[in-house]
Formats: sequence, C-alpha cells, structure tokens
Amino acid sequence: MSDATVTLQTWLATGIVLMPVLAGALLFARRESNAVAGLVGATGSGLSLALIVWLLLERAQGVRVVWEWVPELQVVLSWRLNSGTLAIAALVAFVGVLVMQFAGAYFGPSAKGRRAIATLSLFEASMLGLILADNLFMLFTFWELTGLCSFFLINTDADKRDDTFAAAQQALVVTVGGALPMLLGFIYLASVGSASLTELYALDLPIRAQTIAFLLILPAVLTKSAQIPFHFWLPGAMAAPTPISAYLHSATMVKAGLILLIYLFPVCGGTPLWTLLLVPIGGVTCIWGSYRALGQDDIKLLMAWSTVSQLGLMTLTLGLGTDLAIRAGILYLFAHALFKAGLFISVGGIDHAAHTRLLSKLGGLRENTPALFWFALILSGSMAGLPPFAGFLSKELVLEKLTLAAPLVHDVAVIAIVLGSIGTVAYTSRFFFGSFTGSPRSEEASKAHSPGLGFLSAPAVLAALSLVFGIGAKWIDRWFLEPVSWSLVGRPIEAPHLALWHGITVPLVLSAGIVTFGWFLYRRLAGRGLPPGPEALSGPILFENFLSLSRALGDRLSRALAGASPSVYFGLVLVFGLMWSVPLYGKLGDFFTHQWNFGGSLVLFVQLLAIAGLILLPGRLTRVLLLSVVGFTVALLYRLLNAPDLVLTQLLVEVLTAVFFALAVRFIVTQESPSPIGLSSARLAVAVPLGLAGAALVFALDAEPPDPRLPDFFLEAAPTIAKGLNVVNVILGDFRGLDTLVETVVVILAALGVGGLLRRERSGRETELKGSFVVRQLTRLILPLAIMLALALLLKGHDAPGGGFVSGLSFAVAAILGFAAYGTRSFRARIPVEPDRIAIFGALILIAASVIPMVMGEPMLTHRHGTLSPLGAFAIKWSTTLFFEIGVVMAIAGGLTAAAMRLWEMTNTRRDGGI
Amino acid sequence: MSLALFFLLPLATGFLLFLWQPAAALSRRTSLFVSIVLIGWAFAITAKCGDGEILVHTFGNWPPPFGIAFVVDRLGAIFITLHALLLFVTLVALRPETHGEHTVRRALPLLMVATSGLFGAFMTGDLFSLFVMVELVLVSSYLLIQIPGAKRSLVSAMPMIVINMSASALFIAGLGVLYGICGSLNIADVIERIGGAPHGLRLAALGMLVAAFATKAALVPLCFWMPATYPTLTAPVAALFAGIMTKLGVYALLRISPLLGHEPVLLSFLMWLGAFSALLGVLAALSQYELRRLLSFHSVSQVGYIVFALGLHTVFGTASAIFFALHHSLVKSTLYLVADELERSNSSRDLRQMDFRRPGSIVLATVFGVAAFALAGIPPLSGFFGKLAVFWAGFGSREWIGLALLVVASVFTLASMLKIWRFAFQRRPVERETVPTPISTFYPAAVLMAAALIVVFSLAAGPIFNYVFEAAEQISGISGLMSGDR
Repeated sequence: MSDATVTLQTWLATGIVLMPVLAGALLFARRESNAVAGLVGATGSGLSLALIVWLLLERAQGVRVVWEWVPELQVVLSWRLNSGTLAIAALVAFVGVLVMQFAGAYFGPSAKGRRAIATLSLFEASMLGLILADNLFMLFTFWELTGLCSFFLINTDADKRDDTFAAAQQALVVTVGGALPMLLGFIYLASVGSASLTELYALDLPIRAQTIAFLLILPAVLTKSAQIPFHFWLPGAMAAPTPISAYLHSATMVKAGLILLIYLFPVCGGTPLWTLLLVPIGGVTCIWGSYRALGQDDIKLLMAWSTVSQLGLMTLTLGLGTDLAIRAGILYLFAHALFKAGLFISVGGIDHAAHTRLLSKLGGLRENTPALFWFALILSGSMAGLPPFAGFLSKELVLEKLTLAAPLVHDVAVIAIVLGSIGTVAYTSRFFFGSFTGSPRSEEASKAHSPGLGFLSAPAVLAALSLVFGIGAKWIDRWFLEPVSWSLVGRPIEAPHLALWHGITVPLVLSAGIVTFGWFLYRRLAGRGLPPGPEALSGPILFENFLSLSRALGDRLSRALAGASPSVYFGLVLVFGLMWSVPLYGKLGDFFTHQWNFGGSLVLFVQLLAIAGLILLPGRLTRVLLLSVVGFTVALLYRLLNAPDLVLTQLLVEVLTAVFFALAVRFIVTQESPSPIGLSSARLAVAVPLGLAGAALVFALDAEPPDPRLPDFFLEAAPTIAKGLNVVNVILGDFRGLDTLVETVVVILAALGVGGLLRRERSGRETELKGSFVVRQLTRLILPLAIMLALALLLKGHDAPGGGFVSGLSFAVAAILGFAAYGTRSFRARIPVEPDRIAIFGALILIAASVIPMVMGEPMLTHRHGTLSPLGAFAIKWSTTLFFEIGVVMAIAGGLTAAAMRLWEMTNTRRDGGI
Repeated sequence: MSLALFFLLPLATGFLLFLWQPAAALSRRTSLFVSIVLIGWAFAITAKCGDGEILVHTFGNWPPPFGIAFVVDRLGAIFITLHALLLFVTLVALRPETHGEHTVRRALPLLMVATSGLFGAFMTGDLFSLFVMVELVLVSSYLLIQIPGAKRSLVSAMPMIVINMSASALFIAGLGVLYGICGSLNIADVIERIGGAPHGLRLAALGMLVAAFATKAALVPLCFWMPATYPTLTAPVAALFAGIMTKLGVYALLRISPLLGHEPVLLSFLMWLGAFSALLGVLAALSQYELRRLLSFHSVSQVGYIVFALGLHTVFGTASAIFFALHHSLVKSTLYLVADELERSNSSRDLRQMDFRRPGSIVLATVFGVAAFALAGIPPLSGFFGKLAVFWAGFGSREWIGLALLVVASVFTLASMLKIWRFAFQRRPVERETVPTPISTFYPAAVLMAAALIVVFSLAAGPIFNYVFEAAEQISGISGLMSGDR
C-alpha cells in the first residue's frame, strides 16, 4: 500500500469523526430553525457514513496514526480500520442520519432543539471515535465524552421538568465511576502489553493478566451497558427527549460496553471469569428487564426496560465466550439497533400523534395512523423474534450457539434467555396491541392524527431494513456477518450458514415455545401492572441515599477539618512536626551526663518559672510580662555565649515587643482578665511527649560535631575579602545580604499592615495624648543620646557590635519615646517625612543597592570596599555595605515607628487618660 | 537578563506603587505591563532550561555554599512561568470597575511583592533563603486578606496566621537541625552531605520540614486554615492564591524530595497523607454550598493527588506530581475567576441563591464547563492527563490501596462539580417569575484567557509532560531516586 493511500485513509478516518463535530459546531454557532438543524445534523452523519463506505470499499485495514498526543503516557490518536470497526461505525452513522432527521421534526418550534441536535452531533462524533480508536486511552477518552454528551442531552428538558438533573447526574456518575477502574485496567494492559488494541491482539497474555484486566474493565462494561446492578440509570435517562433516547439509550451508547467486550474478547476472552461473570449477570439482567418492561404503563419506559433486558441478553451471549457466540452477539447487536431505534422513534410518533405515552390512555391508533401501525408491526415482530425479521434470525443464532456451550452454563443461559424472551413477547404484544388495536381509552387517543413525514421516514427505513435483514439472511451472512465477525474476532470462524429455515431444530422449537408462552402470558396479564420490586433495592433511591450520605459525611468532615479552634490545629501541626523526634528519646539520658554551665542553668531555670507562670497565672498583663521575662533571659543566654550583637538585638526587640503588646492589649475589648490556661490532661498528653521529643532533639544535636566549613570561611573571609571585623554584621550585610533584604521587606510590610489590620477603627475624637512635663524634659535629654547611639551602631557596625538592624531598632525606640513625650502631632511636625514613607524609601534604597552592582556587571548585592585618605594623614575605611545598611535602618526604623504611631493614635481615640 | 531581575522588578514595582499611590487604573496598567515583561522573561528562561542549562546567579560573588545563589533548573522555570501567567490573568480580572478603586489600589503593590517572594522561592538554591522568601509571601498574603476589610476577613485571618506561623516555626527549627548535621543549607550541598548524617537527627529535621510544607500545601488534617481564608479574599486574588500559594508547599516538597529519599518513612507518610487528603477533601467539598469554600476544599483534595504522586518517589511519580500541579493551578484559578463572576452577578456567595439567567452566563457556563470537567479529569482535558499520569505512577509503584482511594475521590470530584453546575448553570423550571436584573459588569477577558490556557495546556500535554519528565529527572539526578518504572 502506498504512502499516499495511507495518508488519504488517515484523513478519511479522521473525517468520519470530524464531520459530526463540524455539524455540531455549525449548529452551536448559527441560529437555525430546528428543521434546518436536523438537516445539518443528518448531513454531518451522512458525510461520515459516506466516508465509512468509501473506506469499506477500499478495504482499508490496519492502524492509522494521526497524532502522538502524549507519548510518555502512551496516549496516541490513531484509528483501527477493518471491516468490523467500520461496519459498527456505519451503523452508528446510519442511525445518526435517521435520528437527526427525526429530531428536526420532533423538536418542532422549540428553542432548544438546535442545541440538542448540535450536542447529538458531538455525541455521534464521540461514539464514532470510540468505535474506531485503536489506542486504549483514546478509546477511554471517547468513552467519557459519550457519557458527558449524554449528561447534557438528558438535561435537555431541564426547563420543563425537575427530574432531569437527577437522572443526568445519576447516568454520568454511574458510568464515569465504572469507567475509572477501566482506566486502571487499560494502564495495566498497556504496562503488560501495549496501549494499542492491534498490538494487543498480536500478544498472547497469560491467563492471570487476562483475568486482572477483565476484572478491572468489567465495571465499565456493566455500567455503560446498564447491567444489573447498575442498570437503574437507563430508565432514568428516559427523561431525555425521544430522539435522544432512541439514539443514545438504545441504539448506540449503551452498546459501548458490548462493543468493548467484543473488542477485548481476543485480548482477555481466555479467562474463565469471562463466562462465569458475564453469563449470570447478563441472564439476571435479561429476566429482570423483561419483568419490569411488562409492568410499565409508559411505553417509552417499557422500551427502556426492554433495552435493559436485551442488553442483558447480548451480554449473556458474548459471555459464552466462543467465536460463534461473539458472531451471534454481533448479529444481535445490529438487529437490536435497527428495531429498537425504530421502535423508539415510533414511540415518539405515537406521543406526537396522541399526546400521551400511557398505555392506559392509548389504543385504537391503527385507525388514524395506519402507516405507523405497519412499521411498528414489523419492528415489534423483529423485537419479539418472529420470522421473517432480523430479530428472529439473531435470536435463532443465539439459541443455536447455546448447544455448544459447557453444560452448566448452557442450562443457566437457556433458562435466562427463554424466560427473558417470553417476557419480551409478552411486553411487545402489550405495547403493540395496547397502542394500535382495541378502542381508544382516552379522548386524545381517539383524536390522534397521523404524524408527518418527518416522524415516519425513520421507522419506515428501519422497518424495511429489519425485514431485509431477515429475508436476505444468506446475503447478510456472506456480505456482512462473515467479514465483520472475522475481522473483529481476528480469525475465520467456521459456522453454519444463516438461513430463516433450517428445518425443525432445537432453536426453532424453543422459539415456538417462547412465542406461545409469551402470548399466553400477555393474555393472562391483560394490561395489569406488576409490582416493581422492593423499594429498598431501587437503584435511583440507593444512589440518592449514597449521595446524601456522602454529603452528610462531608458536612461532618468539613466541620472537623475547618471548624475547631486554632489551638487544636496548632497542636496538630506540632504533633506532625515533632513526632519524628520521638525515636531520639534515648538521648534524654544525656540530661544527667551533660556538663551544665552554672549561669546557663540558672537562666533556664528562670525561664522555666516564667513559662510555668504563663500557664498557671491569670491575667493578660501578667502574661505579657512573663513573656518579656523569657525574652530578656534569652538575651542573657546570648551574653553567656559571647554574642554581643545578638544580645543587643534581642534586648531591643524585647523592648519594642513590650511596647507593642502594651499598646495592643488595649484593643482587646473584654474587660475581664482571662483565666489561667491550666493543665488539662489533653494538653498535657500532647505537650509532654512533644516537649521531651524537642529536648531529645537538642541533646542529640548537641552531641554532633559541628561542621566547621562555613564558620571557618566566614571568619577568614570577613576581615580579608569583605573588609569587616564584625563577622555577624558581614554575614547579615554581605554574605547573606539577600536574606537581610527580604526580612527587612517583611518587617516593612508587617508594619504597614498594622494600619490595614485596624483600619476600620480609625475614627473618633482627636484628642492628643502626650507625656507630662517631666517626661518631656527627660526625653529632651535622652533623645539626642539615643539618636547618637543609633548612629554609632550604624556607622561602626561593620567592625564593632552593631549594624543596620540594631541601629534601626534603636532609632525606632528613640522615635517612640519622642512621640510619646511630645504627642504624635508635634512629632510629625518635626520630622520631614512620614515614617511609613521613610520605610518605603528604605526599601527602595535596598533595591538600589542591589541593582547598582548589576549595572556595573557584577552579581546583585556585590559590595566594594576601600580606604579613603584625605591629605594622606589618616585613613577612613569605606564600604558600600554602608549604603545597604542605611536602607535597612530607614526601613526598620520607619516601619516600626509608623506602626507604633498608628497604634498609639488609635489608642488615643478609643479612651482617655495617659499611660 | 539576570535572574536577580525576576526578584527585583516586581519588588521595585511594588514599592514604587506603595510610594507613588497612583489611581487604580494607572496602577493596574503598570502592573500589567510588568507582568507581561515577566511572562516574556519566564518563557525565555523556560526555553533555556529546556536545553538542559542550569542558570545561576551568585549573590555578592560569594561562592555557594557560603553565599546564596539563585539556581534555576527546569522545575524552577516551570513554576516561574506558571506564576507569571496566573499573575497576568489575575491582573486582567482585577478591575477597579468590578472590585472597587480602593481594593485594586491596595492589592496591586502587595501582589507585586508577593510575586517577588514567589519568584525568589522558586529560584533560590538555599533552604534558609527559601524560608525567608516564604515569609515574604506569607506576610503579603496576610495583608491581602485584610483588604476587603470585612469582619469575616479579619476573623478568618487568625487561623491562617496562627497556623502558618507554627508551620514556619517548624520550618526554621527543621532548618536549624539540618544545618547542624550538614553544615550548610545550600540545597545541592545538603543533598550531597545528608547521606552521611546520623539517621535519627535526619529524620527529625526532615520530619519537621515535611510537616511544615504539608501544612502550607494544606493537606488533611493540616488544611483547616485554607477553607476559612480563601473565601474571604478579594476574588481574583483568591484565584491567584488558590492557583499558586498551596503549590508553594508542593514546590518545597519537590525541592527536598531528593533528601526525603534517605528517610523512606516520610515518603510513605506523604503518600498516605496525599491519598487520604484526596478522598476526605472532596467529601468535605461535596457538602458545601458556598461556592468558594467548596472550591477550596477541592484544592485539599487535588493537592492530595499531587502529594500522593510525589510520595511514590519515582521519576515518573515526581513528573506526574509536577504535571498535576500545573494543571491544577490553571484550573483552580479559572474556577475561582468564574466564581467571582457568579458571585458578583448574583450578589451572593451561596450556590442556592444563584440563577443561570444572567448576562454572560453562556460564556461563563462554557468556561466553567471546561474548567470543571478538566478538574474532574474528563478527557481529553488536562485533568485527564494529570490523573492518568498519577495512576500510571501509582501503578508502577504498586500502591493499590492509595490508587483505590484516588479513584473513589475522582467520582466524588465529578459529583461536586455537577453540584455547582446544577445550581449555577442549570436551566430550571420557570416557577418564580422574578426577572433577574441584568448586571452589566461581566468582563469575559480574564475567564476566557484562563479557559484558553487550559485548552492550550491540554493540547500541548505531550511536550509539557516531556518537559516535566525531564525536570523530574533533573531534580532527582543528584539523589539516586528509583528509576522511573511506570
């Protein structure tokens, strides 16, 4: 085969799927009348059909890769072309033409017809894709898309009735839920074999693998093809308009599960579970569907249950798991699609003619709708399995195959099929005679008019085909069934020829018995309804219960997950974080062997007392003070460790913290002081083990020899390369300047945020609060000293204890002192710029200090150093870190002052009195 | 173009806007311009990293591990691009006309500063400076929460601040221990040295980090702060947060995942945490009626998928986690933007009060459909590929129970999306003839852009997965992960 042919066939195959998509897109985009919309939809399907026929005539064979979508996940868009896949596609497209045309008539002038037909076209495209896809994951994709389209289509009448959403949701959730295990099954197949069906056919998987794959894929088959216990969504889906039910829920989509079974038969048909599971499930579905169909008054629901029953029959047949059974299943699949689509459309015609679908109101329609009567007769005959229609032929074939199966399976299957078929004859009779014969049971039925050509053409065509199918058995066998089943099973099948008359055989006798008993059953029941079975086992109710149970569970869960008090969550975070240190408990023994430093132990003891007080003592201010004790003693620890910079910083931070606490405490509205936290057993149960874990962690860490690389480097490089004697300061300003920059920005934002946090409170009387005369005089003395200290800390910081951060804190303390003494208004008058602006300028200086080296071609935050010796007399060291530090000072001092001032002013407007 | 500019440009923009305080429209235009520049740069470095280059910027010329370096590999480039795109969409959605002059003016500089923090976090090669960057992001987010100024936003900020503070405390404590046993916090250096570190301390240090990041990523049961907070944020900001903020925790976990290889118990811990989050989060979502609260519980669930894949600790699992994270960011942001439009046009946050007959609801319904079905993993949208990848990864590692949990979670995800559909977009029988007042503030630009991003992402899933797979190989290359058996 030439490359050009392959390319052409690839395009043709893609075109099959694209045509309905184009039709759908066109209909979404343009406002057309429903009749035109039906025509557009039918044309789209017709073009697909034409392309399929073209490919069939070309005898296209093999895989055509279109697009490697996600190669790593083995998702490849490719088509599998052979007479089998193309024939099923042809069926879908052909019924599509008829249904679209019918839909155009059915929707009349209703506004939503166009959109429904557009969605129907998209559904058709998905269905065709499902049938033609070679790649399992693309098959899955199209599978889900059919379900999605079905959701929207069932919902078509949402503006008229309340039950559509529940039905649509049920259908979608059930089928998607079933499909997820299938996705796992596909992954499994792809990992043990291949994601391409064609390649899988060439492999011979071990039985174990076949079984695993089959079990994973089975739920998808059962849900999509409405097998018990997942069948309930299908009758519910009848909330959809009739064309949709005809197309999706009888002729095509519900067959997807069976099509998948046929496709997978060569891959995992070897597992014994294939028969052991499919036959009983199919059998039960077949019988139960028949029984429920018998009890329906609404003929559309009757058809829906009949579909369930016949899907069960097909599952059972395929479940027999022989080549012949598959062949029979394929034939039944086609026959069923023809007569069931025709019957659904006839139901639509009856509904249109008599304005009712209830058997209790219909009757005698033959008078007014003779054409429909004759078409329905043929289609019903086919469904009941009467000769010479397609249904007879296929049912014969099914019964014939049974004689070849294993004995026990055979018995089960025969019983199921016979019972199901008796029911079929009975409900078909009920539908047909109840609608068309007798006398009308309501006024509407007596005044029925013959539906127009739009309602009749589809049943006519389908009825004719059902007839041709049966009469032309010989040709059907040769030109259709043989090539199709051979290419689907992947090997030639030795089978007796199809014929209407084989002589008197077991199947024929069974058929005769079925018809007789069925007729008898129909006469006995004579229109009486049958009980639907216990409500507790009703699918829709169970489904709704399941959903509401999940919702109730979720409600509890959401309250547990997001409703408790922050302290619970705090504990939880700590548990999750510290539980990993529990294995270190062994290190707690170091408590006794550790060389305790006396001063350090004393400090720790004081801290312990303070913390005990925090837990046991009441009162807000007490706690603030005790927290300060802890903070100041930490500074003492730093002193013991010889870290003057840290001592300075810690002290200043503590001072400021105390100030902020004192200011903020006033905002807490409740006057009563809080009771002690206390030692509840729950708290202890969390705190004690975690505290021990923390202690163990510290002991363990203490026992580890420190890694000298970084300290050594810093000690060496600080004075030599970075030209600074204060290593701490060099680390902050140079080695890790970026961290300092970011943390400074964090402080600015936090400070600016104080204004935002309490923004709503900013209104009220404007009385200014300031210190007494003595305070002001003292401040006048202290303030210059404080400012000078802060300046010194900044300028000398590179070599001696100090630095930008400490200096900024000192400035902030000085400023707070200043506005506390003079009042914020006069303080503002004395400083040139608002403090928060100073902070922002500080940030911009930091950014400038970062950018300038970059302009000069160096990395961000690269500093330069040197010595300036004016007159050669004395040398002044300079460093660009100073510029950076100035930014830090401005940011910290400005930010903290701004925040403190805001709190101060707000305190002022809330209550009178001094500090 | 230097890496440092990624950090400096948004920071400078933020502070200039603080200082200058221009009108909202001008401020917005400036920010939009900056974000376009950032997108351009982001694509440039993504292309560079795609060629296998690792971009480095050493601060102050100090060689690592002594100084700090920005190190951008594929993983970093991916997250930078993601954030740049989301920022742009957010800025498009955040209009003075719809969200108020005041809100926009206050939010923009903070968004810019948060952006610089995020970029810094995605670029830094040093764990301490990662901590600092995360703090910058958090402090900006605290302030962003305050913007609506309602009492609820103040109240809901409490748990977020308390919990994130405790997580930060664990983070820094963990770093302290890590420094003690490795002698530096440079990521590459730590990866090299952690093998020789004592087991007990290593577990303790990494355990603290894992707990901290799991809290920030909002996994069950550490997620409580998120559903309380996100619904109160200004909606487009919430969209950005939902998209990227929880991913910061995920990103950090991805970064330290080579370390976690030494303590497998932490990996299985993460995997189980992820699987249970996936299920419990979506169950909690199912019961919600407040749209954004529902969505934020969803994030808990979806992050669960990501962390599950990450916990598998295979190259394929890591790649799936990255891919899923990207997908989820786009989709969740889109859903929040749709939620914003719905809330404004219905003047309600409650699903039960919503009505589909509003201007623009067809467009909105389409966008919502794309995003919701993507989230539910319906093929061929991005979520399907994400889910497929995670399933592949789980399959490769034979984690059947975890997989089963994810499968069940998937079904509920669909159910909860249908719930939104039902209330917000479903046609309903016309019983109450209250003609809805048409509200003309529907600006489709942002939601359409977001939906387009999802579609492009889905179509380009192949090359994108290829890229993230290489990213996963790159970050694990230095660690000896198990080879990526699928």
